[in-house]
Amino acid sequence: MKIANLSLPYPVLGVHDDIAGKYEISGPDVTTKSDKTEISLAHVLRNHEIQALLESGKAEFVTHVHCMKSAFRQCFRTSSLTQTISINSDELRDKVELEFFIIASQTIADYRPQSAHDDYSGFTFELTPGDVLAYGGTTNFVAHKQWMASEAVGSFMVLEEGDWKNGPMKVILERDKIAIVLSREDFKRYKALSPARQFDRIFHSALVLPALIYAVTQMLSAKESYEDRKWYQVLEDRKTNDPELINETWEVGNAPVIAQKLLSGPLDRTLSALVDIAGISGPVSQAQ
Amino acid sequence: MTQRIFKNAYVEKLKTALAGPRGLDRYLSGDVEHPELEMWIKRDLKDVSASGFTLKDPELPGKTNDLENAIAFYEELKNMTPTQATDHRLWAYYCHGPFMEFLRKRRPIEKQEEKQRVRFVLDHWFVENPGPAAFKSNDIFLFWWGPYITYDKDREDPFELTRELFSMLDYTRHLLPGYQGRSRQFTHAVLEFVIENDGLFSKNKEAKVRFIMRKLNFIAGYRALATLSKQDIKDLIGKYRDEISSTVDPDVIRRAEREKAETAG
Repeated sequence: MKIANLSLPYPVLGVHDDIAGKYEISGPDVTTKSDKTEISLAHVLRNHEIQALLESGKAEFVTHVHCMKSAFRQCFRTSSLTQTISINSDELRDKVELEFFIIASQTIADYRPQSAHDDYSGFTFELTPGDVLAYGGTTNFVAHKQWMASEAVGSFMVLEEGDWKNGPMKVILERDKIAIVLSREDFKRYKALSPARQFDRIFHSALVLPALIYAVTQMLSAKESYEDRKWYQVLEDRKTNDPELINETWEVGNAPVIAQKLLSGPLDRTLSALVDIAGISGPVSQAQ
Repeated sequence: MTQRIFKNAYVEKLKTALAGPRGLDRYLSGDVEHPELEMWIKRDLKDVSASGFTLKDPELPGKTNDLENAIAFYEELKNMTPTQATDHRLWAYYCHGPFMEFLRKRRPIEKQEEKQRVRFVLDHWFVENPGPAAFKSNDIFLFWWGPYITYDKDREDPFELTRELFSMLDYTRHLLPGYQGRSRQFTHAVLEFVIENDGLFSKNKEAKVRFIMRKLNFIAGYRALATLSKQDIKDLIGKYRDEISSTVDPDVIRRAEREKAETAG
């Protein structure tokens, strides 16, 4: 519903300063299994009047689940403070949005919350089932699928041959996977070298890292342009769930660090590979 | 159960090729040859070609056979899951393989202006972003998703709502792709209301359904419609019965005004 920026014809907790108090969500914790996806959360309410409506059965908590790609949109209602939602995993793909409300579950003829802003004093409202009493905001998660092994670079990046003879590589973000496109000459050399897996660790720094730094920069500065792309959702998922990245500062200036963490230290692997190739034995500092 | 689908890179290659000087040749000639190396074999999907399944050609003028095709296609692939049905590689394969000939007849490229043809192919032969927005452009995609969303096993005719869905372009262009339409209860409620009140919709049906959608979209601004039951939504629509009844197609009004002006002149 995206009501956060609306001014509704009656006071709503969680919209501007309509009503004193708080309604927020603790969690959600999402567990994905091959057959079921479970969403567990707790509704945290600090407003006695709405609490009383819940206790008398006149109001209910609602978690609205929306997955655009799989055209899944359903509301799950409960009168309990904790809620566990189980959805067939086959019905969700990529980004799943969650939105939280408290709604009137029956007609409330004389709604006049004492905790409402002074602007509403003296007014009484008649609410009908489905009218929103409190708004708890939104969050989202990425529905994991077998094809989206988000640890693997190949799940969000692909290397391709361009249609120009030689010159700089290009990075294309307007696709589901980040495309690193090399000139024909460079691609030919890459194809010749790639079967010898010893160079993989070097390619990570030379090709993958700069492309990923660019992608992270765009992810943070032009969210609207890319948030429907699978690569964006994989990175968003890592941002939310990867212990290495949860506490990282997700700002454009920190994109080089984020990209290196996403690739689990490519520079270290590249230098180690070069040391191996150069045949340097013992601590490198001594060899120098 | 060994359905072929294109590899991601091949889908991109097909799209890129469209920009070339002979990019449209494949679509104009109906070439369905593709290198085996550019395909994956999906063992968890039924091969739609193996049983000899075909779509019925559109009969011109005006009879598209979309409803018959949608029901037949969905029946054939009923076991496909929604996640499998959001794989753009599968739809690209269908459109460039088993259903290329059908699409060439359903969406004749020759009738498009030359400068529009590449865009036309991208829209109708690919599913760039699998999701409700693509219902508007890719026929094969809609043939699965339309029945999937409207199939109701509890009805005497489980495809009764599907039949209503394909009776009017407004449903597949506005109801299904819209935000409200993604709620199964909402879509079923609107279609059911129209079926149950056929007298009310005997004239100006398009304009009346558009009125309902406008009204419900407005109400959804302050009321969580997705929390309501199908019956609640139908009752809500029923409150506007008088307004629905008096809704007239704006084209009819414009025509009447024009005729009046001409008579007066």
